[in-house]
Amino acid sequence: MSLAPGGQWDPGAISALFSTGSTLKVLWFTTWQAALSTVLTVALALPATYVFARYRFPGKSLIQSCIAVPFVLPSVVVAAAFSALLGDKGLLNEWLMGIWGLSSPPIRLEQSLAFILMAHVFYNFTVVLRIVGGFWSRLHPDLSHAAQVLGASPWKAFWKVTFPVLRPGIMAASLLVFIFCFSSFGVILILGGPRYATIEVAIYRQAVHLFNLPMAAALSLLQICFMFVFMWVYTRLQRSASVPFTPESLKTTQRDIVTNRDRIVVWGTVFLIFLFLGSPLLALVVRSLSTGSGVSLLYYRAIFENIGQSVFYVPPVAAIGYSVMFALAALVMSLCIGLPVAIFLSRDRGLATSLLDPLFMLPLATSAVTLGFGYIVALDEPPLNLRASPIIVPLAHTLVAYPFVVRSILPGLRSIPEHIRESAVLLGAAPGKVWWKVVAPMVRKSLAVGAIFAFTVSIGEFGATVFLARPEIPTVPLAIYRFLGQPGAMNYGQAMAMSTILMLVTTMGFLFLEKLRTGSGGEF
Amino acid sequence: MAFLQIKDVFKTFGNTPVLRGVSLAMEETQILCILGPSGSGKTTLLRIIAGLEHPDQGSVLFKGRDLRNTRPHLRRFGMMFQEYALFPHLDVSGNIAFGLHMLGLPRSEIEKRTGEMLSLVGLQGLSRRSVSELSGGERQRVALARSLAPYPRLLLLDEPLGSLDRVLREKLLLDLREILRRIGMTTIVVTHDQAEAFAIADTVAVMFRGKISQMDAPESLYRHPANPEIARFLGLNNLVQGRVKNESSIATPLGLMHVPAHGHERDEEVTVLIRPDAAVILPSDEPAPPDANVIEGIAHDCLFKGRSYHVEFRTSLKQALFFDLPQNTPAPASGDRVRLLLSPDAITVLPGRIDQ
Repeated sequence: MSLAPGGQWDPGAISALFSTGSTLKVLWFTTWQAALSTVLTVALALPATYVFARYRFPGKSLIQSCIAVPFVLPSVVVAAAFSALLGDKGLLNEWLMGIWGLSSPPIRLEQSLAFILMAHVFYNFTVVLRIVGGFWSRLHPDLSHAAQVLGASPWKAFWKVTFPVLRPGIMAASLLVFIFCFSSFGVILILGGPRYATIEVAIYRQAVHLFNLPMAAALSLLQICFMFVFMWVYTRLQRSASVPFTPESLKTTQRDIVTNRDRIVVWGTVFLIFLFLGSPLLALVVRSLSTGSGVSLLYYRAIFENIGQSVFYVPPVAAIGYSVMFALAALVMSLCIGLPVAIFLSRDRGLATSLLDPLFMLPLATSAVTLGFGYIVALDEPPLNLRASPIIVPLAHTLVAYPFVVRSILPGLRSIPEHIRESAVLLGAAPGKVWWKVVAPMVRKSLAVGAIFAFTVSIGEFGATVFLARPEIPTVPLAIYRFLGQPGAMNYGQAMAMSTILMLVTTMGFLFLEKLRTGSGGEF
Repeated sequence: MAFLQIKDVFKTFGNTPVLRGVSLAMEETQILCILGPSGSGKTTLLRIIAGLEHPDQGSVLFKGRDLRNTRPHLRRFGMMFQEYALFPHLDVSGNIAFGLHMLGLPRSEIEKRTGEMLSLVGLQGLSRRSVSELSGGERQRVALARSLAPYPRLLLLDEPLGSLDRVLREKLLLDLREILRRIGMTTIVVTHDQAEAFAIADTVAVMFRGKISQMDAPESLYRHPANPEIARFLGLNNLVQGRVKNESSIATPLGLMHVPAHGHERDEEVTVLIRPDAAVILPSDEPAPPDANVIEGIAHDCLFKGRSYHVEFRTSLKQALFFDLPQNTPAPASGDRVRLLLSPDAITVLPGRIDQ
């Protein structure tokens, strides 16, 4: 498309991509905001990672699950939550104005870089905590002690010993965070305003606002190239640069809270994390309930009526219905695709598997915006003209979600020892029977995990949906996005109410998933 | 003034008291071994000396100076950790040179001393090897070289041979002893293995339940354990309950034992320790010499061990006694009733009851 607009070979769009300074500006901004977000996330998450890697404390696994909630929240919800806390009409500004009697909001973060960075740290905190924590909690504390006895101060022992040993983990986590921030879409679109654009946002603007499809396609190509390179680097990194240390059991590496200092360090860290991660979400709930006339469910009720005719052709509650329908459809389709793929990959076929595995996982590395845009371009002419059909939305969601399904089921399938299948066969079970009587019950949990994953991914999907959904058939994230873009307390309130609902659904899905996952395990 | 002095140290983890008033003193170039079963608090004591843990009470004095406020990296003590804690991101010489870099020595000096240490522990040629490729014995040597390289004022070894297999242990034990004596390093070794302790140390401190029970030269410790618990821990299991009759004899279920009982009251309950290597069979036709200690019982399960016979000896006591009899006399057949003549220095009187 970018090379042949209108069916003819014409690399004009590609050269236009680089001849105008704006592309370079977008590329530059995309890169450095991602780099800055990554550095900030790592710097803020490392101290917390230390605490989680070195201490045992009550409620730890639940706390860790809660910290991971922001990561699975739809980007529109995160954007809405930050606007609810720190936006011009946000909770904090309202309080400060009330306390000091100001006439204008004292905190002006809307459409600023700081807002974007905060949201990115909020999102990716858990990535560093989990990946680096996984390494750190397996590292014997005596390594650092040995360095100290040899004359290194605790600080120097960290930089000379602990950090170098953790470096592969830190690099992997950083690269993942960088990839996520590089392809950030919803957060930048909503919180950054017109001043900021990543490649993703630029694709959207070119395609939807300016109808410059060749340019959008050229940008998509650029994005895909970058993502491909990043993923390649990531897999290389995972394979090579590891420091071979003997993993220790958590019994030797972690200690209980004993002294008051331990107590302050652990609970202080937990408190700060919850303050940072929890307050935007809390503000969202508070904002959705506080109307001009005190606390009420006004905005929630308004969802069920079609007041803002100009915003929607249908009452907002219909968006919830569509979202659930799409999500269920995506769930079924992802399972239908994901299960055979997982079964195929679980039987090691040598080279074929090793080549196909990354191919099946490709959608994971492709950004949602590129996918959505690709669907528009690919499916808008016969024989597959689905452009106008509502089925295109769950189809796109399926493509986004099925790799998660595969990744959830695969470890379960692989963990079933061959001799269990063989003994079932020797006991007289036909291959189909073996599957239903032996394999299926053993991977039931992983199947449930995959299904919930697909559902939550679909219900919060924004990047692809924004291209594909027809105006009269919106999903919840789309409705929130449109509400946020409209003036007036009623629209704002409804955005908050719908975000709150979406947040609760996603959070519940995720926490349920975490409960299922502990024990069955998943690989990502 | 003692080189290192530990004064009345207490330490509790949570609700578990680990050290309950430990005091000891040692001199320069001495090799002290802290010997005790696992969980007796010996590693904690070592970590307190290194500064990695803080005592709840009591103090550690180095040449009379209290180390309370000296952090571990400023103490200039060397320590070898139980699993060696080699730095996985550095090669062999990188590990050995770590402490030298921390001293800020010039590069040429670092290289010279690293080479010195490599040859001291016999690892020349492995300097560029990654530590993950080393065998257990090689790791132990790297760890030793690493802790010796900065010329520490005191060397602390935590179960230095603990994670090695038996054959390797015996070889490395001799090497370790040789190296430590050659450079005259003041050393504290922690171990649960009495053979290891006896081989390395000038002085052994036996530790039970967070307290030092006895501190002595290896030979005197073996000859005169302070109580039945220590005797048992040293593998001396032939213990018989007794009561002091007069200052030269003790009444036991095996009969009257003629041993000097200085320092014990008449009628005091004591434990009699019979060393397993100090008995010979008294032929049935030979009368017992007067005032000799002879015990009678049934030989059981006689095991030929080359230099001696290991015999299980059943008496009227509940538990069996075990003896290593010299192989130059014929071994008793299983079930034979025999009389054993105990040499006078084979019997020691310990204070207190056996307390199973």
